Amino acid sequence: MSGRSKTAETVFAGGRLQSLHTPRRIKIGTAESGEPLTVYLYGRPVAVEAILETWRIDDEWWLDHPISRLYYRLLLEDGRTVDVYQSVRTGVWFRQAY
Amino acid sequence: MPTQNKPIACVHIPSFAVEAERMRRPGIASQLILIGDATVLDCSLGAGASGVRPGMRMSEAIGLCHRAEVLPPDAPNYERLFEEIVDFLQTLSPEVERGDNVGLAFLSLAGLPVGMEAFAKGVVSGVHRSFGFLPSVAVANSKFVSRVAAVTARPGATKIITHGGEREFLAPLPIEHLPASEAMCWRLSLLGIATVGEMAGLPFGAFQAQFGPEGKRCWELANGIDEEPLLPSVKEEAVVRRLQMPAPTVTLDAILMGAERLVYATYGDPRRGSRWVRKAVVRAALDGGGAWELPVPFRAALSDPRDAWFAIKIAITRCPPERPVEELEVELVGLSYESGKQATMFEGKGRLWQQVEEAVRQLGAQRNRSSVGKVMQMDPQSRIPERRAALLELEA
Repeated sequence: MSGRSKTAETVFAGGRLQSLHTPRRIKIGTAESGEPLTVYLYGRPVAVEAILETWRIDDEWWLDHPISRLYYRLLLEDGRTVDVYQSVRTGVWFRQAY
Repeated sequence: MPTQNKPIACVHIPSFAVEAERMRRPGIASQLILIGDATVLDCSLGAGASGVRPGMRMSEAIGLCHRAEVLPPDAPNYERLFEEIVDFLQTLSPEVERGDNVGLAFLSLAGLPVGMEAFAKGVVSGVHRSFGFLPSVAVANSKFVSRVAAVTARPGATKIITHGGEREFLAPLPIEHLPASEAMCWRLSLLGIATVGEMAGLPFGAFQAQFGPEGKRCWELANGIDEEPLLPSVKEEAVVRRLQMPAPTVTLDAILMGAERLVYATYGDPRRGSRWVRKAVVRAALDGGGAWELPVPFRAALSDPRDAWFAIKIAITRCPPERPVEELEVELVGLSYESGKQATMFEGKGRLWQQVEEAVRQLGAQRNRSSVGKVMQMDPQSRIPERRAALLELEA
C-alpha cells in the first residue's frame, strides 16, 4: 500500500474506479502571445471569439510531477463555451470541464 | 546440563521496520531514520549509535538525533512483508514459528538432511536474494540460545552453537539478554552480577530462593537449559482485496463506498467459496505515509456480504481514518464451513432493488462488462477537476 495513484483509472477485482472530468488532449492554434486563437473540435477548427476568463492552478508541488496549469474559458464563434488549459511544464493543451 | 533438543535455527532481521521503509523509499537509504508516533518503534543503526532506543519518547529521540528522518509507522506493511518471508521459510522447513516481533522467526531442523552451517547460509542467501533483507541466522539446540546468537551476530552472518557449548557462549554476555524484569536486573546489578556467566555460577537453590520462579527460569537459561518447544505457526487462510483511490480521499462517504465495494468483492472471491467469515480487517494507506487498521470481529460467522457490510460500516463510521486515504484494503479471516447462525427462509430484499440488480446484470451480460456506474465524491472541494469525483462500476 504505497504511493499516490498516477493514473486516472484504477482496475481492481474485475471492476473499475474511473476519475470523472479527466483532461483530454486537444489541438489549439495560438497567437504569438501564446493565447488561444483556434480550437480544433472533432478535427474542425473553430475560431475563438473571446477569452472570458483565465486562471492558474499550481498544486502537488511536493510530488515528482507537480501540477501547473493555465486555464482559459473560451467563447467560440459558434456560441459554445469551452474550458481548456495549457500545462505550464510541457506546453501541451487539454480540454477539461472545470 | 544443557538439554539435548533438536537443532533450531533462529532468523533475525535487525531493524526490520527501518529496512522495510528503506526498500520502499530508496531516497532515504543513507539517512538516519526514526519510525514511530509518540514513541520510537524502530530506529536505524546510526540513530541507535546516538543513544536512541525503541520505546523511547520521540521528542527525546529527536533531541538525541536531530538530523534523523522521522517516519510514521506502517505496521500492516511490515506484518505483510514479514509474513511473505515466513512463507518463504516454510519452504525450507516444515516447522516455522514466528517470533514475538516482526523480523524474528525460528525453524526446526529436525529430520532435515542438511548440515547446520549449510542450512544457515542457505537461509541468509535465500532471504537476501528473494526479499532484499539481510538476516543473521544462528543454529543451536534451544530457542533461547539460537535467539541470543542470532541477535548478537552481525547482519548476513551465521553462527552455530554446538551441543554442550551453550554455557561457554552465553557466559560473557550481559544479563540484559535474559528475560529478567527491570527489578531483577537492578537487584543483580546491586549484587555485582553483570554477565550471564556470573549468574550461571551461582548455586541454584539460593538463586531461586532470592528471585523466585523468574530467577529459576533465568538461571536455567544461563546454564543452557531451555525446554521451551518450537510451536509451529498455523497459517490462517485469508481473502484480501485492495482498492487504490484515484486521489487521496478525505470524505467518509467515499471511503465507505470504496470499502463497501471491497467487502462485496472479497465475499465474491472464489477462494472464499461458500465459507462463512468470522472477522474482517479493514486497512488504509494514508496520504503522507502511515497506515490505519480496523479489525471488525463478527458476533457470528457471516456468509452474506450485506450482513458483513452492516457491521463494517458501523465500525468505520465510529472510527474513521484520521488522514486522507490513498489505498483501501479489506481482508476476510476466520473462514469456516460452520455457521452459528440460522439462515432465514425469506430474504427481506426490496423488489425495486431486485429489478435494478437484474437490469445491471442484463446490461453487463450484453456488453460483456458492467455499463452502470455510481458517481462517488472523492474530494469535492479539490481545485483539480479530476480529483473531485470518480465513477464506480456496479457489478451485477
